[in-house]
Amino acid sequence: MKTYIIKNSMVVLLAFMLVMLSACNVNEEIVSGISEDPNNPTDAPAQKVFVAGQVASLLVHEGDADWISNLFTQHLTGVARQPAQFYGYSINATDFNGMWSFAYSRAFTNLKLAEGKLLTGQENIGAVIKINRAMLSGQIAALWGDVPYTQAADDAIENPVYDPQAQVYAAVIGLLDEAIQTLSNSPSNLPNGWDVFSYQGDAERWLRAAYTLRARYKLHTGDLAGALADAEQGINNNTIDPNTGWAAGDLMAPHGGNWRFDMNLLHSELVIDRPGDIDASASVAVTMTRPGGTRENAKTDEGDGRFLFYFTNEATPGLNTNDGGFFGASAPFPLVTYAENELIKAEILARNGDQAGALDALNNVRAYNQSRFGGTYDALVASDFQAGGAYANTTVLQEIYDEEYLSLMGQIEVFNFVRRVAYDSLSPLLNPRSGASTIPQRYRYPQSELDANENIPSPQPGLFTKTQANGG
Amino acid sequence: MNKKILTFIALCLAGLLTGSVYAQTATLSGKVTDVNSGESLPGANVVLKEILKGSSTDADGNYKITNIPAGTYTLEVSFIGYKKKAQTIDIGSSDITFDIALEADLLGLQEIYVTALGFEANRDEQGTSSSNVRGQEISQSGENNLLTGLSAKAAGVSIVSTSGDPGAGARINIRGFNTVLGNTQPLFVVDGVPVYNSTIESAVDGVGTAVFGGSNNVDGTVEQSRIQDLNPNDIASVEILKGPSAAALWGSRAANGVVIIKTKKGVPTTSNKLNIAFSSISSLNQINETPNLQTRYGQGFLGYAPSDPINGNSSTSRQLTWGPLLDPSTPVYNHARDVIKDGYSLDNNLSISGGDQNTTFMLSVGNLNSEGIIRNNSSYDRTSVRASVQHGFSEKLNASVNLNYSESNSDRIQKGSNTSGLYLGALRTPPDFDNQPALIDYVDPNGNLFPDQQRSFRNPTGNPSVTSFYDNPYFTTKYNTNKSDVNRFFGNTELSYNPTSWLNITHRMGIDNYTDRRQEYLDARSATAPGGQFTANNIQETQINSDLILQASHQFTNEFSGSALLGWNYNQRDQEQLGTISRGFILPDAPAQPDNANSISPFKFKQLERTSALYTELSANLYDQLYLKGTGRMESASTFGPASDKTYFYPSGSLAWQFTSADWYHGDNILNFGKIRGSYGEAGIQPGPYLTSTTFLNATGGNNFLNGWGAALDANNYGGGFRRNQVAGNPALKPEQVREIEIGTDLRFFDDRIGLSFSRYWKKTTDAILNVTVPASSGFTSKFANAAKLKNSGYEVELSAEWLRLSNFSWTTSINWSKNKNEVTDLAGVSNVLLSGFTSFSSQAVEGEPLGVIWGTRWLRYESSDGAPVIVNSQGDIISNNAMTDADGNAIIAGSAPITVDQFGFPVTDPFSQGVIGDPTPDWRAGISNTFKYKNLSLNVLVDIKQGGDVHNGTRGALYFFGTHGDQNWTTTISQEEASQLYNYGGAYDVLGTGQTSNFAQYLANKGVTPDADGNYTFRGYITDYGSGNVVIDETAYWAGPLSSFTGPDEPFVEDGGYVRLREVSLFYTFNNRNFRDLTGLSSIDVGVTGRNLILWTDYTGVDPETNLTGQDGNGWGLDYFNNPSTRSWIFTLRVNY
Repeated sequence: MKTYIIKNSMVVLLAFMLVMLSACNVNEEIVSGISEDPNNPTDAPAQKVFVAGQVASLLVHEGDADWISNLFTQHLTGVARQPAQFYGYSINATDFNGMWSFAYSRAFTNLKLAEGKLLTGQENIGAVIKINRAMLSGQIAALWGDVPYTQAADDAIENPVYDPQAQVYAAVIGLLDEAIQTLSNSPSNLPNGWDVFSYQGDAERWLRAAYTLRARYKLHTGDLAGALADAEQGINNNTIDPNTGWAAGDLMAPHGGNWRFDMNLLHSELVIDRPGDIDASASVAVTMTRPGGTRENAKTDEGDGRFLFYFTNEATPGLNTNDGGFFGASAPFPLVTYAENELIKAEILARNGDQAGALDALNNVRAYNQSRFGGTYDALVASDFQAGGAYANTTVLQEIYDEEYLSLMGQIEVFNFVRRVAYDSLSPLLNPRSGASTIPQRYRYPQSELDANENIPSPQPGLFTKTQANGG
Repeated sequence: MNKKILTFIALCLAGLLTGSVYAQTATLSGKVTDVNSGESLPGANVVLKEILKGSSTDADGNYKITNIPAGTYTLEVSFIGYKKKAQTIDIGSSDITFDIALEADLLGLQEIYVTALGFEANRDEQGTSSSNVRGQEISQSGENNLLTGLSAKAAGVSIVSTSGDPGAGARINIRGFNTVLGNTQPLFVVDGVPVYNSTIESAVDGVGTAVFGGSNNVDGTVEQSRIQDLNPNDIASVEILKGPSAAALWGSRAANGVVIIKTKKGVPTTSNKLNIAFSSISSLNQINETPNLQTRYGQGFLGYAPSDPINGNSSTSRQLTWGPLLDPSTPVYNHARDVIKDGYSLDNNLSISGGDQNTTFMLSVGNLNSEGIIRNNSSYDRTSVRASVQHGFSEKLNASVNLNYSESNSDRIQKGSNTSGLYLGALRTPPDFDNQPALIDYVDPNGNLFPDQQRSFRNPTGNPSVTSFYDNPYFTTKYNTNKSDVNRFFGNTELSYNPTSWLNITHRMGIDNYTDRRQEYLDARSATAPGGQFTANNIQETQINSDLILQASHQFTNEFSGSALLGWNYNQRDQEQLGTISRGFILPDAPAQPDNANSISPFKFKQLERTSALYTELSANLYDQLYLKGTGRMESASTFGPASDKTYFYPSGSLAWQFTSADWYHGDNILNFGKIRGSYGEAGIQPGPYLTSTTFLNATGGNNFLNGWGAALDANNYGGGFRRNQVAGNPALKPEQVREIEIGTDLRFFDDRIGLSFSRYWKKTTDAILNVTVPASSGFTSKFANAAKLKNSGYEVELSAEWLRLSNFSWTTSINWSKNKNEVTDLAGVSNVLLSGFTSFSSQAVEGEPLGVIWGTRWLRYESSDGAPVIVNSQGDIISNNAMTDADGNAIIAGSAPITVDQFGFPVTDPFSQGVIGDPTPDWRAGISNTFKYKNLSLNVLVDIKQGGDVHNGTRGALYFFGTHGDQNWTTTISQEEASQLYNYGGAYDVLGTGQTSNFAQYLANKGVTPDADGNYTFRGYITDYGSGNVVIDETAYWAGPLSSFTGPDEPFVEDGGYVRLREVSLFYTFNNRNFRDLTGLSSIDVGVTGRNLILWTDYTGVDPETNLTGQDGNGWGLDYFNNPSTRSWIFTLRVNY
């Protein structure tokens, strides 16, 4: 009896175990196939991801990273709440969380994903994506120095390493090399619906922008010869586009006036989101461009055209947030411009001692300014900078720098420029209230990255530590 | 193997044949009476256990069982409220008459235990603790919501009703929180089948949220708990299995416990009698507690009324109640009761039941009509129909069907942090402002007429170009409506087959489907949605459940028997929300239609979850005193990640030893029953659906590119774009694991006159799911991961005692007491995780603290080296020399240090960080119920005690700013000399803008106040000392200084939410004696009156501390911010049984 029970128990137990094991698979089978979200797709085609990536990039080029840059360069004045603190260089790691998150988890990621989804035959689209990626990573590296690039937005890697700034610049230039090669070989336009910027898929204009961008980043890294050669092939169309009011060759982000839909982000920030926090009350650009200001002389009378594009004409000038102004609700936003391209040439030639060549390039910008803003921008000649000349008190290079300071106004690039050439040591851009001896030389790494990425550089570089490209 | 099957079939056939072999049968009949009174007991169950043949007694207590084959049987007689009686009886060939007298079971200690799977078992053989609540206790509570009807009736079960709105849901929690972001509610199982108790909270825009981690709606309406679709009058019993040890068979849905509900069934009657029961319950509901408001000072600020031409006429002055002392003749209004009235409800129920030995049925219909205490648009109506049929086709095959349909309609008024909420505008209204009329005609300076504009204290002329800021309560209750119409069907079928005496095969199929059609309408004149907003949302949920269960039992020897169970469970849950939000009405007063709007946004959301599992239960009984049970469940679910193990095993085991049955225990008159028990169990909490894969989001609307400063771009304006979700899906996500160990004892003394149960448990949660921050450079910003750990431990005691049992009088007491200690032990390095609330104050998970601690801004407290307060300047910089510093030279902030003061003596808000400011976890909870019976009159008194447990009274914090709170009616007189030596906040920090610091006398002079004839100043405020000398506290400390939560820390507004509550008092009389029955032909009539929440003793100064701003669904608790008030009720019951 006993053995019978034991034997049977063993059989039952064995059978039971078999049932359990096989049921395991059956159960898994039954619940499988419905784990995918029916509300949102788990993938999207390259075109839609690229559009998202470009729009997200605008939040970096035109968003808080931009107006904070322009607070540091004294184009804008922070007068209340956080902008007032930032203006006095009191800015913490947490203040950089948002823009960093946008730069990587929205812009970088979606541009990279879009590129990976392209098919053979879409090489020219790939080239435009590469230009977008280069423009994004170039600015990230310029602002933060050593940053994740090779391992960024790689699903296999949770803690991306920080690549040295020089290597990121090299990679950015590499992306542009590839884009230039592709677009040079097959300059066919992009299909509709891919390019959200003003070029609307025009391959030739993208090719020129790629050259200007490569010139920009070569200049950042000190490759003057390379930068000059690229600028020679860069944006050259300076006819005024009636739609944008800018040069037809300029890469512009289009805007409508609808808040949180397509409104100019600076307008949104200044007028709707944080009204009263930022103005132009201590803007250096105001003193430079104000009618009857320091730059007025026998060769140059800017009048109020340029001034009124950026500012309003009051006792205490404000920012022109009206239609037609730089900060207007539907004002297009510049990303790479003809003026930048010519000024790269001018700066390099001047630094190389080719004063005549430098003045040619500068005069191109002056002529362009005159066609945009009116006023008088007579062509300058070498003698203007000699005793008795209208520019006797300055140098060609300084005049080029001053023009760069004004032409790049409102862009992150103006902060890159100021740090690159130490423009603040030539002109008083230091906030006297800050107690610092120099303007900030970089952005801090964000708190979110400090908390979560074990590969973040240690020790942390301070706000006033120059990046490697600028001699840090 | 084939041989075995053949044997099996042969055995089955033999079993079928046996019935016809015996031709000789007999009839058993008799009468069932009460042993004490001798009254006959109609409706008692009489069953011959061996052959499951039975009958129930008729109106005279008579029963009759026919066609009984000869043999020896156990005759079991049971009746609600009486101790079950078993008697061996020999049946021969002749008919037998056998009368039985039952003894009243006043304590209900020997009740049947209902297992996790819904089977009945002997409670004395269980190795786990559970609490049982009889249906009668719930229906007698007068609550029309099952959950609130359970309040204070079971140890370890905490029930918090979210407000006094009619039909408002409640939050139930058993033995503490086991998860950070997962579901905290127990699983509800009705007649063996899981049903929904989901609460989909609505925000102010009416969109339901179904997010993992629960909603965090600090506004919107109070929603229902779906379990309240079940009419409490249909419930026979509720068994509460408190955790994994008892409930592990439900696997990843069992960690929070399982509430097993048995519904009422028909019982066999003799001579085809129908049992008809009718009940009518009417109640009167009144407001319970209201925040205290002052009526001494009027609208305005700086002591001037808004009508003051120089100082008063500003929007600040309209907003605040810091105006002049009101003349006693000025009419004042209690705005907490402005739109409050008495609420009434009527609940009628009719049931018809009966049947014979083969078939029983019960049909019931209930209709509840309730009107809330809010003036308009606050109601809850429910009509429910239930049908239950059981049929035995033979002694081997039984089938049963239970069907339940209910329709409920409700109207609600919004609450909370919401300018269209009931109390937000009401309580902020100055006492001298009459909120009536709510509408007014406005004429602009050009003479244009704007008829019927909303009038509020901040816009008394109804100027349509100025918002009303907060909706006038008369307006909001009349013109903003929130409707919900729910149609629900749920039911189950059960087929049970006994091929042999030792084997049973049962199949259960359950379906639960409901549609909740919500319509939230904000008038075009409302403050929240100027222009109007209409949201229509159809929420539909469907659950299908199937269980196939094999059970076998065997008596191996006299001392050893055992049983085995094998089951397979399939469960699928489907939710869909489909609706539109439309804004900007074209015709402001057209019927609510989406197309009557300038902007229409449709939305759709769907989710589907499926679980499949195999489970087993093995039990053994040794020497009729040792009971061993082991269960196991192997479960797969669609919410488990594909890279996880996919199948998880949930074991449990328990051991019970009835030591009083041991040979060495020679019956004792003191301890007549004793059992010790121990158990262990593992259960899980399922991850939310769709967390395992990464999605792409349409970069528009809520998924647009919005930066932290408020600017955004929408990809739809750039041709349309999809971006990858910044929250990474985690394919390795697995269920949260909860392990529980429980030990305890059940003892009964003096022949079951006293029962005592004690349980001690320890629970650990591992792999609790968190949304963990990852470096943005990885392409994601966060990822759901099994990262956190929690633990709970506690004690539960249940005591019942029959103090007196005389022939006409009895007195019994039952007490439940419980204490739970919860701790979040690991948050994966994250300091705190928001559960619900605001950026200022919230309920959070904090490592090392109980889940849900109240988190907010605090007083600055620098550690002092000499005991004297540390002094700071207005910037918070230390200007005294007595602050203790750490090794790096930084001043130490310590929570235990005295409050730091500024150089004028005012306290200062800690500008550096928020921290824990309170803990809503009570120290312990208890329910004490006393029942007195004299003949047919019974009186029951239930007292509910919650010791400790903080509530953040955000309402008081806000009212302090406005100056309407009842605390703020001080009047103080000081001499001019004293005034010139003291500072008030406004003088110290120059709120008048004079350009310099002024002492109080100068300050008063600056605002135009002169001393009285005696040279004294009388002001609204008081003088106090925060540690560095006296300061004047006047209005400026409240609207500019640190004493209101708008302008200062949240810490001072945390209050002890402990209470003692007279939860229930009920007095019932039953007419059922013989004369009555003969006269009326009825079985019985009960009449009763019940009072609920009649008295509340609490130090809490807001509404009833049993409240929760963020509803049932969110995991946070302990917050009160303009919550809707709760009620107390008088309930009159009439029950007629035929």
